[in-house]
Amino acid sequence: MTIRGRFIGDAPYFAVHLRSAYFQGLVWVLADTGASRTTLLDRDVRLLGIPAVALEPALLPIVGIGGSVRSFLVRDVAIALPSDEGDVVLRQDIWVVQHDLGQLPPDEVSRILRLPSVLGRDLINRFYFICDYQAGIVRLER
Amino acid sequence: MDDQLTNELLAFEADHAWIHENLKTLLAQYADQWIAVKNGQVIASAPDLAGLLSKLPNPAYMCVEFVTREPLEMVL
Repeated sequence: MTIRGRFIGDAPYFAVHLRSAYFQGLVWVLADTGASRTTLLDRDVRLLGIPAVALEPALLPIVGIGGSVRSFLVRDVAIALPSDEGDVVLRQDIWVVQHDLGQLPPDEVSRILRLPSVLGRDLINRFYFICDYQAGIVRLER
Repeated sequence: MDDQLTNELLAFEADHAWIHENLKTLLAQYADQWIAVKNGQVIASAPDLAGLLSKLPNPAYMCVEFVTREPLEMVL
């Protein structure tokens, strides 16, 4: 079973569909083995229209390079990825981070909103992950 | 997942690729703008994301990107 992604520039991406009790939609996620958890960032939170009621404050802090963020959990999200053998649907909680954009200058807000959501190791490690930039191959396989 | 959703995912992926492949052309008209793309066509644009979202009937199913000459060096 193969789930195909693609390189945009030199970065590997997958298209996923998310569905929860509060929202559903498509997300273009960067496959990020440096991320322990699959995480939605500011732009996609807005595109998906995730309501505040869906955001449960995370008990654990998220540590990374960059400014301060508020972190949340969205419970029980169905994550669908298209494969050559039909849909692969995984169900789990997803992290959400939100920067305090109101405190930042417009240029910085724009840069933060450009950041992609990430597919983290919690999902990647369920598969055999191939990321071969030289060959142009991005795949998750089982 | 039904065929419709599979097709939507594939089209969504194709639109993101289309933006990357046509960036030079897009910069001429949409530099420093947020754009929404569907089936290889820009259907809306705005200087800020909130403005763009207000123009879209269903942003959760749209390919949305910021068009700019400024590279984004990310460490995620």
